[in-house]
Amino acid sequence: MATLSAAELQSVRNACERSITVNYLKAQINAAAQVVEDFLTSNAAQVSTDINTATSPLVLTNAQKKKIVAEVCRLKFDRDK
Amino acid sequence: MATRHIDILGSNTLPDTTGSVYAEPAAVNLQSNDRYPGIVFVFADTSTRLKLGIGFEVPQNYVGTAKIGLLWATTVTSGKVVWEFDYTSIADTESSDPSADQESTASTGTTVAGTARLLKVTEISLTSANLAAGDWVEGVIVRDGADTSNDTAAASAYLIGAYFSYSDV
Repeated sequence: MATLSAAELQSVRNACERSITVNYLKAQINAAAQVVEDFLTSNAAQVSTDINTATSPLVLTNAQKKKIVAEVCRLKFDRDK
Repeated sequence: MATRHIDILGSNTLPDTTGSVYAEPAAVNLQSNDRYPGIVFVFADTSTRLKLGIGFEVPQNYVGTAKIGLLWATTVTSGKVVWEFDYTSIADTESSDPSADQESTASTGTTVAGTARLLKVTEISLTSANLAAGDWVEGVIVRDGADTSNDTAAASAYLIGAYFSYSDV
């Protein structure tokens, strides 16, 4: 598993505090961010395989897949909030 | 003898070079009603020791009981913020280019107000004998994010104002 660096954790904290009330401690949001990182790492291969199945016989590049995943996540979580 | 306050934010106020201390309109994140436009100094949530430089003259009627007062708020409702003050008090003919702090205060953190955006006043006691009437004080207001065991608040701290408190003749 990749471990988020201190700078990456700080970036997550800084992004999450804007325009909301924060009721957690640094250590708690750091742990939450790491869990998300672990989940994405664990499931990256499966997502890639699923995209390949969906686009067969075309195989998208990893860069293309990452952009799609990032944009769909942004849309989904903006829609769900 | 009475307690006096003088404002210490002004033309000498300058953030450090981290990029994590900066002035921004209160309306950007601290306030939502935006009734009174104003500037606050943001001390971001980091793992570093953030500094805001200030300077002020010790008033001519200074006797003692020196303190730095910080008026601040935050959007976080749990945890602590570590506020400190490092300074040198400079008398006539002393070096105006100090190479070390005369005093660096220590703190184990101030618990946040518990409700977002409440004004909180934190006073930091200084060694009164370090200062004398007419001295020029150069210093930094510090949020010590490097103190990870005590600075636990996961959001920016917004410095709204700051003062020097003392007792007069």
